[in-house]
Amino acid sequence: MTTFPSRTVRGELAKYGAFARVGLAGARAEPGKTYAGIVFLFVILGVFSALWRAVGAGGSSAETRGTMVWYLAMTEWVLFCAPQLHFDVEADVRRGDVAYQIARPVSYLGAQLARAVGGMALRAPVLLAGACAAGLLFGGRPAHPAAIVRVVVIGIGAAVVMSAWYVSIGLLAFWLGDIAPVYWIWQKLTFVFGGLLLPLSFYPDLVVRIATFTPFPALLTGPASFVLGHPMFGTIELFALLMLWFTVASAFAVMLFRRATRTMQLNGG
Amino acid sequence: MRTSTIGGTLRFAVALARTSLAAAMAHRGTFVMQAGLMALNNAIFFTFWIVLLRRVRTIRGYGLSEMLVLYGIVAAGVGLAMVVAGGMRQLARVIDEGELDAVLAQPKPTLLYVLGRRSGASGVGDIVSGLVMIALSGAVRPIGAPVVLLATVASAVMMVSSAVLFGSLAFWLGPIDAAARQLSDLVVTFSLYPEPLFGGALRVLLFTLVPAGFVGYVPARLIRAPSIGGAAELIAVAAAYAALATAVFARGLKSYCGGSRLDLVG
Repeated sequence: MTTFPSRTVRGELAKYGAFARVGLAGARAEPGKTYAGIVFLFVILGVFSALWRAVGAGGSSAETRGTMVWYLAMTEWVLFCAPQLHFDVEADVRRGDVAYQIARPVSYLGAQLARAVGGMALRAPVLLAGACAAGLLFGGRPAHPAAIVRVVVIGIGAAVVMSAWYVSIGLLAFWLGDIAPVYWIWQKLTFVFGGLLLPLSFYPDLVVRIATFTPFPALLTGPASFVLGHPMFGTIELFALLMLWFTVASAFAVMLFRRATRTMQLNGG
Repeated sequence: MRTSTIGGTLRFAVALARTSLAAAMAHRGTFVMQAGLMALNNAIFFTFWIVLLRRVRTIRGYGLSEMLVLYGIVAAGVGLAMVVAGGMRQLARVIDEGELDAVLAQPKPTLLYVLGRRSGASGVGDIVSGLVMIALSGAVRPIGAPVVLLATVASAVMMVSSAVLFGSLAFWLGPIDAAARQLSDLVVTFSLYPEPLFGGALRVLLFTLVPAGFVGYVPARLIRAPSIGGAAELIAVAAAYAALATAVFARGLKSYCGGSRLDLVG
């Protein structure tokens, strides 16, 4: 009697584990995307290293050029870890693939997320090596080396939460057709509210106050600010925030998916 | 005879751009949303410079006004390139997947077809936001509008030419779609930061292989300090780069084997 539920849980886990392996295989089959990410990391860190050299770490006495470069290396690493699921979901919507995938005994949304996590298993360590190499090259030794470990652990969680939001963005294709403009806005909001290029503390109080009502600080500046020596959130607080935003993102995705599939029409065979 | 051929090609290019733009605008709501979101996108990104320049005033001679002109001209140039030559982003994929077959039999130049048969609606948002930024910079008076127009066209020509050069590598290297796009993105990325940040070999690169200098720095300089010499230099470089890109594409086309595809070309 007691074995049935656990077998069910195990079965469920096995299903999503299979999707994770598909994601891992996909990341292995397309190493170009990961290498391109590393090249971009080197370019952007090189540009910002030159920028911080020119401005003296943004006129801030608290930050050195090295810590600012490491901060950027970590925000970019988290950003690149999360696979661009929204475009996959958009393609599924456009081709009509969602229609036959929902007939499977597995959640479409869960399968997408599992694929993302599987891909991350390969991308995250490779990109981390690239980010650290670029950080060392342009920023020298990190001022707080132990903080990198904390960034890595929480950063992976942040990348998973980001993937959950990407699924929601992709689902908007049911109504918008092309989700690129929505993604651009999301991307630019991560620039500002997420503190992608500059720590959020550089921005005016009003921006910081608005940002606290959004998921962005927990996704990027939260984990990366550990390397500055004065983190924006404590470890437990940040973990709780990530859980909260994961729940919100998942609920939003489920709501969108239910609404879309309720009105979905199938044509042809 | 030759003049009429050039005139005919130009008329065709204008008609193609107009048709592609009309197609992009067919879904009015989507078009307005894409253009508007792109303009908003630029405005949000520019907050980075506002925040930074509030702290340090200038970065090696670049203040807010200079950054507005630089960002504005790159946005307007890239936007114009996307509107009239939206196919540039897909060039490498089109070559690699044999999609050129469908346009090879057309009576007008193949490259023109491939570039002009798509128009990026978001480019309109780029153009509008770019011109607004230049106007807000306070560096241009209404009489300087022709210079802004020249700089925008030259920047767009450089952007399209570099995309054609990167995309044409697919004739010899095969599936390099992602790499070609990334190289084009690299041109835009570098052109959005102040010129004096980059020195040495990188600077040489930015004025040759990755021509960010001619997409952003030189057109921006011309807008801030118009001169006949500066305009002539920009026109000459843009024309030379366009000629080089066309020649490389034509050379690659000779080695093109085709993909045995049958498509309808409208």
